[in-house]
Amino acid sequence: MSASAKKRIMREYTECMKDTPAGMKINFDEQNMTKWEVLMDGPEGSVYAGGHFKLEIIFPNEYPFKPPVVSFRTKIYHPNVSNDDKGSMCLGLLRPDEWKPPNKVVAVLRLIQSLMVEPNIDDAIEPSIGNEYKENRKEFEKSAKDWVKRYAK
Amino acid sequence: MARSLATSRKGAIPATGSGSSSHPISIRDSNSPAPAVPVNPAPPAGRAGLRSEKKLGKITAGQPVTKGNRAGKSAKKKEPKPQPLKKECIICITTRQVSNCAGRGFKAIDGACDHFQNTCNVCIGKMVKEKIIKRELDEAVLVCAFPDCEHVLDYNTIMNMIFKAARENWDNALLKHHFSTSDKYVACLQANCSRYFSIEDCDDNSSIFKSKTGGGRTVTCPYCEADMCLECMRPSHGTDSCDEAKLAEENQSLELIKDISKPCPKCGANIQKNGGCNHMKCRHCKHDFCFSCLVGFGPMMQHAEACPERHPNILQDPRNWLPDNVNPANWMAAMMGDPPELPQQAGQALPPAVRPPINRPPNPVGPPQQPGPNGLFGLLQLMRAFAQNPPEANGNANGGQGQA
Ligand SMILES: [Zn+2]
Ligand SMILES: [Zn+2]
Ligand SMILES: [Zn+2]
Ligand SMILES: [Zn+2]
Ligand SMILES: [Zn+2]
Ligand SMILES: [Zn+2]
Ligand SMILES: [Zn+2]
Repeated sequence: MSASAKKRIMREYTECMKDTPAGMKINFDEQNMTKWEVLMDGPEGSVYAGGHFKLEIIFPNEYPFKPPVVSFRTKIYHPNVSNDDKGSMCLGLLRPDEWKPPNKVVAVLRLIQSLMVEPNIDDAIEPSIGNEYKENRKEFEKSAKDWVKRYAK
Repeated sequence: MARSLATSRKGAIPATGSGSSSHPISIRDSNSPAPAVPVNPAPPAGRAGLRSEKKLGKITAGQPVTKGNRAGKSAKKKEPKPQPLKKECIICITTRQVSNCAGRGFKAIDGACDHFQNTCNVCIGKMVKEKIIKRELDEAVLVCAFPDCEHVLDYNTIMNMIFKAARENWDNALLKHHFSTSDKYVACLQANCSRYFSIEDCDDNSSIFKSKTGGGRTVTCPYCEADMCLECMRPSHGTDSCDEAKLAEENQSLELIKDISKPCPKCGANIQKNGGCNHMKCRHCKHDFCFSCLVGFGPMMQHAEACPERHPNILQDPRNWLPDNVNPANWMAAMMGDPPELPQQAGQALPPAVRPPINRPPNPVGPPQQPGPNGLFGLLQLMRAFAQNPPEANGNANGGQGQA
């Protein structure tokens, strides 16, 4: 990774420290700054409230010209998170064709928080969960809460 | 075009996509760049320098920092010699020199938005690289990626900012894209020619004509004089209609497919085909060739006219006919009258002696200019402008292009 990419990541970390979105903690390793570990509380009022989720943000070598890669390390029942061992997310500004170099990680973190409150059904990576969210909200909420109890406590 | 710009504007605003209005995401905080304030001449006292030093360690985007400030005490002793203006790039957070050169620093851009003025040349080059990778080549411009900013950097400005290698890559990509999407250029169907020529220019010299005998519109390659039908993109088929030509081609293909055993065109070993595709590899000499037409596979490969593997329109995919080892500069030169050096193809179907003589085109496209610092694509645009407005009629055709 280029020195300038590292500078940019360092700067963003400093900015995140000043203005960390509520309910989030960032573990930053200066030796390996291209991989951030984020601990995120399920937002109050959402089905994920009370859960603690571990996320990973990987910065590509071409950052900020390519988007960071976000994955849930804690299992989560969510239409926009792949239901596999990767737990990957790829929507909105995280998509390579949508990402712009001025975008910041803090915007990514806020995007994830807002998606936990209200999933984006049109861009679901798990269409069956998305459909359940739309057609059978009760069942969706039950499963999501079950998973919080099972994996995110 | 307007649409593609509009979408890229939309994409610049980071929408959550899900009820984002209730959870707006702002990425603009702490990001509005400070305008480039020249710190020199007359640098303030050392105190200001120290403050500036402090800021650098903190988080102030777009703050200009001078070398003198960073050097600290040593700058105090000597009489202040004018130091180059430096500023911090808002994208890569790297402090670089403001200079008039392409490459590593900032090139002052008159009239650009604050964002572009505070984006270094290296980052501009990387943005261009992303455009090439994403094949966003319809517009030879960069649109500001900051929310609510519509500023556009044009081709010439960008070409004057970025490194030579980046410049050439972008230029090549733009040229390829231009040729492949333009219906005014065709590539000659002859395997050993394949050069581009402009149909429009042929028209001026009456190279395009309605065949007296009723066939389709044909055009003659100005280099090898091969005729091709512009209706069906096959070699000229004389008095036959395009449909008849198609039928004849199919029948011929069927004849060819009947053969199941042929000698390898390179070593003569007997090769039998049992199903599978026509791409054969000789067991004996490892030669790659088309079983149907016996032309050798290679970067410049073009199947014989009657081969069923031959695509009727080779313009469909630029990568089919413009291999990466051919410099578009050669094609450009070809269009302007100099025949390009074509790379020798392994196992060429025609021995060199059979190659048709290369003729200069009857009408070179535009004035014979050397490719300037603004690149071949820029030159192409210029030449097209010349063709539409000859210099006598419009002395300003070259205006505003030639800044070094
Ligand atoms: Zn701008
Ligand atoms: Zn930069
Ligand atoms: Zn030709
Ligand atoms: Zn035809
Ligand atoms: Zn052989
Ligand atoms: Zn094959
Ligand atoms: Zn063939």
